[in-house]
Amino acid sequence: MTNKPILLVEDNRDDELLTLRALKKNNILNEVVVARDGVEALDYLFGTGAYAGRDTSILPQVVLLDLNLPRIGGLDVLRRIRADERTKLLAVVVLTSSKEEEDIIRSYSLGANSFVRKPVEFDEFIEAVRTLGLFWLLLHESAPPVRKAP
Amino acid sequence: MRLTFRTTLIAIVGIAAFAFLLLTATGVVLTKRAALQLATIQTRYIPKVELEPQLNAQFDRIVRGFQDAVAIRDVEGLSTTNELKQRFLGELEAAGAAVDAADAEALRFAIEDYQTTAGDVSRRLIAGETGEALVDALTTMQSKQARVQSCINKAAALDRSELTHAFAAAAYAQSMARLYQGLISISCLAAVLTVSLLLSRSVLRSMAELTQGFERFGHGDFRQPILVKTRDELGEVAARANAMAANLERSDRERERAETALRLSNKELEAFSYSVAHDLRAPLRGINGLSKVLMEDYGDRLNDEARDYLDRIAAGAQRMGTLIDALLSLARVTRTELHRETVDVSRLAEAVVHQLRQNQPDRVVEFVNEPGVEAHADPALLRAVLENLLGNAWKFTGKRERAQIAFGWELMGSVQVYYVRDNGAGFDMAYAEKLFAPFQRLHTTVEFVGTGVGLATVQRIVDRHGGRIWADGVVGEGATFRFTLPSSAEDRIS
Repeated sequence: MTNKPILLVEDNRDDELLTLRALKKNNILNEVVVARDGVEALDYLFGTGAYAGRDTSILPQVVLLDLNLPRIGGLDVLRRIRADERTKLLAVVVLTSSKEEEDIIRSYSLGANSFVRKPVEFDEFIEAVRTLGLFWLLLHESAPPVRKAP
Repeated sequence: MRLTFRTTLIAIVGIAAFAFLLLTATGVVLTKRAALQLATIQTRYIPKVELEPQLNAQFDRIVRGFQDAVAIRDVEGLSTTNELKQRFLGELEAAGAAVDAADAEALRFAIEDYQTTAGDVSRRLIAGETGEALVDALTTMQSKQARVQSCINKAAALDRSELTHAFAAAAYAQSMARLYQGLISISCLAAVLTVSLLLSRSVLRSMAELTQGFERFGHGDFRQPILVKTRDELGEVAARANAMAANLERSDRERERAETALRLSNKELEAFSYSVAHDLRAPLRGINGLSKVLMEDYGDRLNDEARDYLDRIAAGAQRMGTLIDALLSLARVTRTELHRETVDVSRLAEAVVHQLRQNQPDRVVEFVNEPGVEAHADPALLRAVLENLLGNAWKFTGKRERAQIAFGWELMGSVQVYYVRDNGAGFDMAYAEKLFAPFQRLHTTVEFVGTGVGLATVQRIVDRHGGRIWADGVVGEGATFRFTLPSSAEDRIS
């Protein structure tokens, strides 16, 4: 397990709390940086705005990206991550409420590494995060190549 | 006036009839004129040919009558010359119009004059008179005889040039008659031909335009009307076709408008569903998750009743999540396009039951599956149908010791009917109609869990395939759901 932070892009405080708890329950102890919208997420990644001066060479281990975000939406964030040389290999997992096919297809076509639906049932949510943690933080310790999720 | 074919044909026949009448009339008139010319020749020239020798002969007889009377010195004999003169005059009278009236008068005067003089001279000769006076009288008589002779010649002279002229006029009249008849028949023929040609040309042009127009209409292109301006039957056909095309185009436009409206409202519905999917679920996650967190972190400090409440809160939120999902899938069934292909329904049913067995490995359910059943349907939607029907069968046989579920097909008339049968809880047929309405449940959630949307979804899917679904059931004995999936319009049942 690496010590790189996890970037959680989530505007819903409940979901944030539950995600953090689910990560903790799965013994994923990386620092979690929370961005409340797309702008904050991009500021963090590219060292702009509130994060001006941040050492952008330290990239997160994984970005957990919600789709419904204020200001800049999740899909736009994903598009900009993939368009930038510095971040185009960054692991991005789309976390969202919907299982609308359209969202899944668009996420993958924009280069998402994985797509996880946040279930209403908390136990299922913990299970989903556990799968994610194992996959992204243990099996692919080094910077993972951009590829579609299994 | 509308120039219909009938009126055009009547016109052609009319022209022909008129031509016939004109030909006949001209023939009659011209023939009459020629006959008149000939009659003139008959009455004016032919009698003259005979008249001159007759008059001369008659006059000779008169002259001889005088000579004979003088020779036998018979004064009485002179009276016969009077009869001869009367006969002469009679012949002149008989010639009639052939002799010019003035000439005839001159001749009559000359003959009377001669008769008087000759009678006088004859009597003096018979009396034996001689001498100078008698010689003078004889000379006078001879000059009068010559006068009669010349008058006869004048009256009965046949003018050759006039006769030639008359014959020429008759011949001219006859050739004119032929010429007129020829001209009239040629011009009438030309008129009939022209009218027929014009008619057939306009008909052919109209027909070509109609054919092209109908072809366009046949391809669904109603923008350009058929340009047949003639006011005949074809023009009327074109006008009606144009009106029909205009109607069709209008209804096309209306349909397009309706489709656009439908697309817009579908889009709205999609946005709505999307929002429901995301925004309604988030708070439910909070409720469910935080009640679980509460239970985990503080459960040991709560009594059983409080823990039960927390469980109920979590379960309620979860149930609402399931409901939202069911509603979204019901809405999706209506929105998504059908992609029909040949589906092995038996294999699909097997897969669904396999999934059900995996979810509840402890259930013992006998599944009778008829192999090789096929349908021409959308595979994803058909899977949803089977998931719901077999899922229901699975659910409602939950209290059976020997649960039995069957899938297969049977023929009803000529229609292929698929069925899913179980020996589960069944239902009261009085409520059979309510089964397929959304949120209609015939069992409480305590008995059997469910959203009440499943069968509504199934019915919509079957509807979209043009099929029908119905159910039979007996409370406590089981239920049979039957549905049709017509592959094409002809075996669709109403």
